Amino acid sequence: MLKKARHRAQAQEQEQKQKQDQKQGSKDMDFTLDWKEYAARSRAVAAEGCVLLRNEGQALPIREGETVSIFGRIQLDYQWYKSGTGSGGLVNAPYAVSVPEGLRGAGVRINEALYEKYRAFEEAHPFDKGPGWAQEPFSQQEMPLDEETVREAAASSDLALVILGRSSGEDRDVALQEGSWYLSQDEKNMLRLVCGIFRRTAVLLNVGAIMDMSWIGEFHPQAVMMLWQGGCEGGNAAADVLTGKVNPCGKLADTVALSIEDYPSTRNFGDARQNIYAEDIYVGYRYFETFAQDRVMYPFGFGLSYTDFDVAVTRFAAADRQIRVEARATNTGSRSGKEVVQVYYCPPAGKLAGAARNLVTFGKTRVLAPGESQTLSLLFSVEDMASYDDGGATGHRSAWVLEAGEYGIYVGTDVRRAAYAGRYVQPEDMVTEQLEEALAPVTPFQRMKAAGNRVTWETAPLRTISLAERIAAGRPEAEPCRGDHGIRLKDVKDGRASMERFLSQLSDEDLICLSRGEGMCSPKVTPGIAGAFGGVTDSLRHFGIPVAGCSDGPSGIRMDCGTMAFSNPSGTAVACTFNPFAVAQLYECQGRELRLNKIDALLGPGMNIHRNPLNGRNFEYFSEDPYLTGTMAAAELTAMHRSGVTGVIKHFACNNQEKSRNDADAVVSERALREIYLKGFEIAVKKGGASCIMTTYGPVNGVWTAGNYDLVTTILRNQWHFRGLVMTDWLPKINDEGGPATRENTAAMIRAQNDIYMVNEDAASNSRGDNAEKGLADGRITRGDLVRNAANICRVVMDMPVMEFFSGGEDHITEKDRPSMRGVTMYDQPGADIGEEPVELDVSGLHTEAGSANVYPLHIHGYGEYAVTVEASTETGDV
Amino acid sequence: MYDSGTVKGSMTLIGGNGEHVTRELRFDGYGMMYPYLNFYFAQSGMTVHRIVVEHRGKQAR
Repeated sequence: MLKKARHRAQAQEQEQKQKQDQKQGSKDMDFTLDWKEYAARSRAVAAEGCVLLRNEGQALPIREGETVSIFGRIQLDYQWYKSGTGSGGLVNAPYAVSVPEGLRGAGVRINEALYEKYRAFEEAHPFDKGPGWAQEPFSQQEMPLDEETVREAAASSDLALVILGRSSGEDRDVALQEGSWYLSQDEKNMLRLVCGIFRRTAVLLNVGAIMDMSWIGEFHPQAVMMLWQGGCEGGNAAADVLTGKVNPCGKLADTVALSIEDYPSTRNFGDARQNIYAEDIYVGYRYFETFAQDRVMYPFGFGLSYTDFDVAVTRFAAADRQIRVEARATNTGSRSGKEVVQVYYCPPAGKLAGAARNLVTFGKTRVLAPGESQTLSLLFSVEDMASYDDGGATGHRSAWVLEAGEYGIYVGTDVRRAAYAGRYVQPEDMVTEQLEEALAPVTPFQRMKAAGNRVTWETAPLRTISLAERIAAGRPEAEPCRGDHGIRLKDVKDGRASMERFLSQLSDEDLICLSRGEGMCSPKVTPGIAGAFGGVTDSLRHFGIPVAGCSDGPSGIRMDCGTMAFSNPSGTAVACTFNPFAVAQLYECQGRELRLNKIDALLGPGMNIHRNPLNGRNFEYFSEDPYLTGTMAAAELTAMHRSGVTGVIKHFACNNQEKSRNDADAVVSERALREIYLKGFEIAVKKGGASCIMTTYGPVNGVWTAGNYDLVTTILRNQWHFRGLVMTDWLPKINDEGGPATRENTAAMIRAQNDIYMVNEDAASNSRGDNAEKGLADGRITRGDLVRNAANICRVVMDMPVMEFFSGGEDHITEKDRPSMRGVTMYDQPGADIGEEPVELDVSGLHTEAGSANVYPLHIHGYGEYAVTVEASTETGDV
Repeated sequence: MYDSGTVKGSMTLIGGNGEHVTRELRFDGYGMMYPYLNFYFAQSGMTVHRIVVEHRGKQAR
């Protein structure tokens, strides 16, 4: 109980701090958005995210005066490879620096004759954008190479760079085929020729997440480096690392296994109906380090440098339930650089049996000159090593338990090289937090369990409680509508009235309208952004509730109207920095850019676990590890809060596959949820002060997350004490347990305390025909449910910048060195005279290619309301 | 969204597979001396069949 009370106190303290930060930031702001500084911070993160996997004979860095031949057509396609595809990648960026451009800018001599060949190929074979939204091919047709071309290049240059690129993203998983997970034949041929002829070849991977790497053993390139997708500054960042201006210091956020079949989730990935999370907690390195060390090509946390470091533990102390590790990193090489020190624990072989290694904390040094040392002091609580007992094996069901026994602590520069540093002995089983069963599976399945380093299987504990009874017992009461007493939301914000009194004025209809977000691209908020929520009707605005706006993220602002925004490194790249401080600096700028565009929330960070490398949206997410995931999300959130804006952490939870994402049921144990799939979110809520959360499209354990009471109310609100708002993903299905899932069942959403359905065209007219009114009439939801949810929404919205603007406040933002805008082609279209009768515009010459803007001048006869009706179609899938 | 006397708004097609979908966007014309409609396409793949502009009467402000 003490632990529970302490957690609650911590949660309240965190909420207060976050509110303080946001309140501070939500006042009128007077600041400068320095775009050069923004670009520099983005470049620094992209560079620190690069991971050098191999560097035989010091093939890299590029020496001064050397000439470099660059192979691979992707060198000319970077604007498409600066990010992944879909909502998380479609930032309309003012520029995107490619690797050749970055190298030229750094003064590196490029083999321009070879570059010209690629440019001519590109002209003849333009980038294939695919049939529509997020449908570009996994890779582009590679330029076939012949031996003569490669020999000619080798004769005139010192080093070959081969760039490989892959596209994946929303609604499309990586495919186990050539050109996607595997290399294409043309790519293989390119590597065979280049690696065979050049003395030094470095392969650069411009990819969103890991891909098959077995070709390294086939072609033996001297160097291999993951560039990931670096956003606007990706090419500059790559050049910084390739030239040694920045010493590589990124570390893998995922395990690179020998084969896709080695990942234990692969056999249960991709089913359109149901995915059994049979590997349980053994995700990524937790599996490989426990059971299959020999199946790893590059371990989690691995990354080379151009220099060498010696890491020595200088102090190990376990006292007062705290473990302090002091590790001295010394640069023993000849170049300046940074190193990451990682701390893992190995739990005792108790009744719960955990993974052999679990990341518990990490630190990164400053740039150390040759011979220089830095001692990192790394602290964590013994409670961070507790396991979740979902079956009562320890006698403490539904509790975090620190089992009796010896906990080994390992310190090093990757999970495999982490060496024993000390131990903590827990004298007896200790319950660190007693919770209650929530979100347990209902489908029987066998889950993986460790018996030493051997895989065994056990039956996953199933649900024992009645969800219906739990929901019925949790129904809140509310007084009936009292009518307008002149209280406005500003009165609540300023402490002149309580939220309860304020909401008692709202009619049932008003409260229901609050549950309807609008979009996409609502004219009530910044043009082109994904959604509007809060005061979406005249009546709600009458009560002083402003309309807040949220835009797609997480790696930049998506405005689908031509407005440009900065594109930042993708989630995987961010995680590989292992540097939350650099990430926070970048997201300070991201916060300011949001503020500049009058956007209250970014739809991100994306923080689902990289359960399997084939998930199409892995590029948006951080890692296979929940601690690293939560730490990076918390860094981004707290940085954005300094500008009064926030992020909507997503996708809550288990959005680990794009195929059939609206329907495929994630069947997962409570333990895996608590320790792996929810852990990062818990950190973002408790340490990052998250105030907005987005649920997923699909179900977890039989209940679609948009209406999943246990996920959103029992765990998030009751156990984590989250006081913010929850919104759905865009147009998801919802169900009552056991019933059909539909997009209209917002009664189940409201009852679960998921506050806002995203999105509707028009909240006031119930344009989608949801069942909220009907649900209120027949008792499925109550006014109490609606008032409770409205309070969640209003608490957040009143601390957003829009509240100040709504009250007449104004920001004073100066932009410095804004990059010039490009990428939009304007087309003049015939004008029209708009009288009393409807006028049909001439669409025969309309340009609908991406980036086209068609301008129709209008002559109107007077002020008034006008309607523009567009009838359109697309042959692509749902967009 | 008001910006120097210009009303900006945007819409997104949600549907697909060849289905004709109609979307309506309203604006009130307030403060627009030289109004124009700018149709920007963030993604390729859409066919526009009709665009109709209609005066719907006065809007109180």
